[in-house]
Amino acid sequence: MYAPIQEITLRSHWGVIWGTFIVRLKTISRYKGMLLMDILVPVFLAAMPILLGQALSGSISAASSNFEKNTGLVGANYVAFIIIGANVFATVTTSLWLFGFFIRREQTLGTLEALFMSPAHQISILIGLTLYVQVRSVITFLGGYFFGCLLFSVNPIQGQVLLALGILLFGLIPIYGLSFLLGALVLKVKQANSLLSTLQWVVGSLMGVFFPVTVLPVTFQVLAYLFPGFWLNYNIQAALMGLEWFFINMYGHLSILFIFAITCPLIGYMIFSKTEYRSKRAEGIGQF
Amino acid sequence: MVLATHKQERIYGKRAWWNQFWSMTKKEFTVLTRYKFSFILSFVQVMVIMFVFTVAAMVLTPPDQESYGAGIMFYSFILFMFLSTALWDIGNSLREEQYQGTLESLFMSPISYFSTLISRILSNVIWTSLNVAIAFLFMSLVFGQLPVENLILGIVVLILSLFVCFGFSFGFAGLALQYKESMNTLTNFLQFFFMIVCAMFFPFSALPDIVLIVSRLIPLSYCVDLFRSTMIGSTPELLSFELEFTIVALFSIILPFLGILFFRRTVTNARRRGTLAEY
Repeated sequence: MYAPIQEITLRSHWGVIWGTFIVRLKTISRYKGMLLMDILVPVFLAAMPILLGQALSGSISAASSNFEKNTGLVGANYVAFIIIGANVFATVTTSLWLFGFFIRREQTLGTLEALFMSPAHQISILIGLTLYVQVRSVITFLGGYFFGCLLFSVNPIQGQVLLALGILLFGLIPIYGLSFLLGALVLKVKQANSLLSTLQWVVGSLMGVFFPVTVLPVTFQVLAYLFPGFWLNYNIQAALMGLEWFFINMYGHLSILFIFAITCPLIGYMIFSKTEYRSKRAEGIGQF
Repeated sequence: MVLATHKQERIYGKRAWWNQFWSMTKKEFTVLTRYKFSFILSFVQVMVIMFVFTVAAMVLTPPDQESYGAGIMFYSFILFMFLSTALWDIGNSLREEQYQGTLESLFMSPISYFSTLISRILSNVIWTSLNVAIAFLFMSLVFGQLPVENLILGIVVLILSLFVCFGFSFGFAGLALQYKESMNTLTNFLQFFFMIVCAMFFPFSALPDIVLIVSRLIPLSYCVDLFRSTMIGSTPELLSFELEFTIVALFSIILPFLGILFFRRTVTNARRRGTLAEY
């Protein structure tokens, strides 16, 4: 006689979500240096173009005027633009990578098969993970943003700060959807580290991290508009810096993010489920 | 007795050293090129990074300074790539051996540590040099001709700088064996620390005076300044050309020597404690 597998109830769903969330949180709390680097890396990234611009132009104001001339963003503070961009970029890449790396780590440790064959619903595990990334992203975004602003003498509470925070929380939902796609890719390709690192920079160029995408050729601009990361970054920059809401108005921009927030997780989860099912059938889960 | 001497020569002689070095280099190359997907993507990645940072530099610089800005960005990036290789790849490659369970047998066998490290360095230097060449072509095609004022002297300075970088690398490989997983965070931090303090993507004039004091204490800063100014044809910012060249040449001898000493000590300690196989 086998013990009956516990029925999946709402309570057990919540148990799995909470369990996954706590495990990840405890793990990262043991690597404090990693958390500190999450905050410092975007500031280091932002420092490079800021300092280069300043050195080549002679002063911050001269660099600002070059930025205005070359990008058409009149009155925009280029230092704030880059600091916000670098922090959103770091948050988006952490969110994009997390699920793929989670899969890869469990695969390497040899626990992925057991995890996927357990009677817990995949959705609960994914929500637990997503919750963890959400908390980590907000903490590191705020840390990086405030530290960057302090370092480069920018007022961090200019513009609509609460709206920007809301956009960040909501705008990461489509990114999680895309991260499921990457998770599927990791299941399929296995050695996906190099692909993820390359994609990170492609994403960076399409998000308008250090410069608005309008300076890129039209093909790149079209690609950028199809990527939710661009809208997330631009909307936060618009909320904090008062940039123009160029697609109808603010609600137009938020609607686009809303559409992505519905479609991306659905498509991502569907593709991931299919890939996972195929991998299970073809003995591919435990192999790495 | 004759047989023992013969064996000893085979293990420790010059020829044996070359054999070990050649076999290991071949093995490293084989591993590198077997992962074709990663191999090709590494070139794409370099081009994308160069593209992002160069456009970022160009929107902030006056039109007459664009070529100079792109030059600073590109030549700094070359050294940054070699530094990253030095900081990450050698240590990681030894950690990989540790994961695979082959490090202990490798270091307990009567082979030279030096040849193990040099073979890993050589394969990575060749790979990074290929990346640099492709990036140069890409930059010239997309952003126009980069300034190349003194190529021969630039290459000499680059080679000396590589010795400085790989001096760090030996030390980091030792630390990676000692501190294992925790080294990743430290390496990550130091990579960005060097990037800012050694002014790897911008002129030293952009740094505040207090940071400049730290910059002057790090030999890598002189490598960056000397290589960049030689290639672009500008005056070095930190010291005179002669002084910077002397410092770089001196440290290109001292640092690898100190690095190897440190690495040997770490391995000997790990062998004594029996921690070579622990990861």
